Amino acid sequence: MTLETCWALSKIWYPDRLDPDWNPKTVEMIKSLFDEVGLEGEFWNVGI
Amino acid sequence: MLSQTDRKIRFFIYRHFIDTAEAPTSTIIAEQMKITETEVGVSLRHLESKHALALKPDSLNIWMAHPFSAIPTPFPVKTSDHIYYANCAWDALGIPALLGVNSETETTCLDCGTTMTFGVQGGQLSGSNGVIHFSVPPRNFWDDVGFT
Repeated sequence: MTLETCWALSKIWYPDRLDPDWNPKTVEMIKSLFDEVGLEGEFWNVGI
Repeated sequence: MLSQTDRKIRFFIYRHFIDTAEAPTSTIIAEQMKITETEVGVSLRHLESKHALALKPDSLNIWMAHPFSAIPTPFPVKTSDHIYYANCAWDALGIPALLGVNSETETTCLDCGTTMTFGVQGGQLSGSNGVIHFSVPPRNFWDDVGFT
């Protein structure tokens, strides 16, 4: 993963950690975030 | 599903990391939450089971609350207020993403040994170009999160 992609992913992955009502991400949510930054293929397949 | 106690403890842990760059102990959490250390322990174990944090092996000491590490790592994240430690290169960008601050991380390329400096300035990636190598696919991140 390039640093550019990592930064793009970090910006949509981490800010919710400061939500007092945070819940763990579901595999559907993770897939959606990976899709949003173009992480595709078997390596990034989270099982759905 | 996280309980109300889990949520309060998890949120307190993050606030503590942000304010001090360190993880709180079970004693500090118990004092601040006004609950027993036994209750804290139960909640920490539950939070770990839900991948909300990681504990040091065979203990109730917090190891990771991603993107923060409670122990020094090769990924220090310098901000205007603190030097945090990130668990990995991804988390070195996760910290400025979480906090909305500028950052700089100096580390060493594990492939060629070159010193790399990267971070965030004004919301934009700054410093070295680079590629992050993942040894473990995301579906297996938590099989052995320390190795990941």
